[in-house]
Amino acid sequence: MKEPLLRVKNLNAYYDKAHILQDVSFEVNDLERVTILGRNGMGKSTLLKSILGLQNIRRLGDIYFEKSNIIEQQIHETANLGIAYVPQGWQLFPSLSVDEHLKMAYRPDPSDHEWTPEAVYELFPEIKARYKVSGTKLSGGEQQMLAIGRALVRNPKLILMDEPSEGISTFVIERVIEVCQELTQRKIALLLVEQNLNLALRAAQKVYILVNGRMVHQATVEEFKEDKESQNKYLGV
Amino acid sequence: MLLTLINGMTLAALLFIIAVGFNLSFSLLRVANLAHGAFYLFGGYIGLSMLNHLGSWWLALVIGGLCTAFLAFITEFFLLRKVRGDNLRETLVTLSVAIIVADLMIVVWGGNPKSIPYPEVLNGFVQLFNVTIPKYSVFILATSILIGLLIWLLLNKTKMGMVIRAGVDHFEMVSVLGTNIQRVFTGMFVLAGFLAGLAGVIGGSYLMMSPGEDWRILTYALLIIILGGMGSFGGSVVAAFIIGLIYSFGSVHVPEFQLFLMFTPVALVLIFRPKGLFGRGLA
Ligand SMILES: Nc1ncnc2c1ncn2[C@@H]1O[C@H](COP(=O)(O)OP(=O)(O)OP(=O)(O)O)[C@@H](O)[C@H]1O
Ligand SMILES: [Mg+2]
Repeated sequence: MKEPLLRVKNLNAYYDKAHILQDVSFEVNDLERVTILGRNGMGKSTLLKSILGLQNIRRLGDIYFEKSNIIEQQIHETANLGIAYVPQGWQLFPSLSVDEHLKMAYRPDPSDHEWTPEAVYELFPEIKARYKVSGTKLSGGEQQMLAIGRALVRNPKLILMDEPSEGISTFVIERVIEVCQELTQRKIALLLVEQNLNLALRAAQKVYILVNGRMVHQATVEEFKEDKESQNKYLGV
Repeated sequence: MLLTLINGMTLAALLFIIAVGFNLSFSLLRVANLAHGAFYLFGGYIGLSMLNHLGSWWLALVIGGLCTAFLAFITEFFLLRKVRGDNLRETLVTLSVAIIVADLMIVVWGGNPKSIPYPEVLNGFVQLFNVTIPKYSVFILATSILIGLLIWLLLNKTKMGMVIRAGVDHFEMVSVLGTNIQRVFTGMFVLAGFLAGLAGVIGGSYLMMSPGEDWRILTYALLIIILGGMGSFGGSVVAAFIIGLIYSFGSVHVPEFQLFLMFTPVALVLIFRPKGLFGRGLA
C-alpha cells in the first residue's frame, strides 16, 4: 500500500504544562481532502500549529510527511517540504499590500497545475481590484480569499486550513467550498479543521472528530452524513 | 540662528543613521539592543586606529563599519540566538555586551576624549544659496539621505524588504511561508551594527569620543524609537529631526533645560500616543 502523504502518530502537544493533544493519530493520503471536526476549544488549531511547529508548542510523537519525520524540523523547513497554512483569523500582514502578500509567498513550480499570483487573481477577482490595499484593510471575506491565495501560490502538496467559515458571509463560504473541491484536480491535498458541518462535509472526503484533544471517531463523509447520532453526540447538531 | 539650525540638522542626520537600523532590528527581533551605543563608539575608535595606521579616512570609515558589523554578528549569532524568545535574558545579553565592550574600549583607547580628524576634502565651508555651511555638515546630511534612500528602496522595492516588513508584523507567519527568519534576524542585526559603526566614524569626526558617549547615543536612539514609533522608517526620520533640533537649539538658548526639552516630547508621546508618532505598535 502507498504511504500516506501525512501521517500523524501519537501526537501529544503542550502549552507549557497544559496537555492539549493526547495521542492523536490520523492520516491524509495523497490528494485526499480530510476534515477534522470539533467544537470550540477542542484543540483543532493547536493540532495544525503542532504540525507546523508554531508558538513553541511542545510536541511529542511522530509526524511523517512523505516519509520524513518533521517533528524536529524548523517551521520554514516544514513549509518548504510543501505544506501551506491558512490560519484561523487569516494572520495577514498589515504592512504588506495584497499584491505583496502573493509575491512574497509565491514559490514557482514548473508544472501545468502551478498557482501563480495571476491565477489567484482570476480565482478571486475581488482581491485583484484591491491589489494595492493593505492586507488587513480588506473585508473578512476578502481576507479569507487572500489567505487562501497566499497558501495556493506556495504550490504546496498539502494545505492546512483552520476554520475558514469563521467571520465570512455564506456567499464566501460557498466560494471556499468550491476552491476546496477543486484542490484535488490541482494536485493539492487538504487538511481542514472546522466546526461548520455544512462546509466541512461538502469540502472533504474523510472525517475525523476531535474531542478534548483526542481523536474519538473516524468516518467517510458519506457515512458521517447519515450518522445523525454521532453528529449530535460529538458536535451537538 | 542659521548655524544652530544647521548644527541641529547635522546632528539629526547622524542620529538618523544610528537610529534607523536600530529601530528596524528592534522591531524585527523584539529586542532593544542596549549595546547599540557601544557599537557606535566601537566603530568610532576602530576608525580612529585605522586612520592612524592606514592614513585614509575613507578606508577607516568602511573598516569601522565592517568591524562593528562583525561584532554585531558575534553578538547575535553566538549570544542572542541562544536566548531567543526569553525577553529578559535577551535584554540582559545586550546589556552585558554593552558593558564588556565599554570596558574593553577603555582598556584599549583610554579614558581621554578623542576625536577623528576630518579628511582634507571635508575641511572648510561651502556657499549654498548665500549661506556658509561647513562641508562636513553637508557630507553628513548627504550620507544620511543616501543611506535613508537605500534602506527605503530595500524595504519597499525588494522581496527581502517585504520579508522584513512582514517579519515586523508577524514573524512566525513569515517562517510558514518558507523563509528562514533566523537568518533575516541576523542580517538585520548586522546591518544595524554596520550603520552604527559607520555613524561612529562619522560622529567621531564631528563630536567627541569618550567613555559615556555610548550611553548618551543609546539614549538618543531609544528616544527616537519611542518618539517615531517602533518599526517605522518615516518615524525614525521625523523623530531624528525633532531630537536633533531640540538638542541644538536647546544647547544654545536654554542649556540648563536641554535634557528636559528632549524628554518632554517623548513623555508627551508616551502619554498621548504610546505607539509613537508613526508607529502601529506590535502584535
Ligand atoms: N497559547 C495558548 N496557551 C495556553 N493554552 C492555549 C493556548 N492556545 C489555546 N490554548 C488552549 O488549548 C485548548 C485548545 O485550543 P485551540 O485553539 O486549539 O481550540 P480550537 O479547537 O481551535 O477552538 P476554536 O474552535 O475556538 O478555534 C483550549 O483549551 C485553549 O484554551
Ligand atoms: Mg481554533
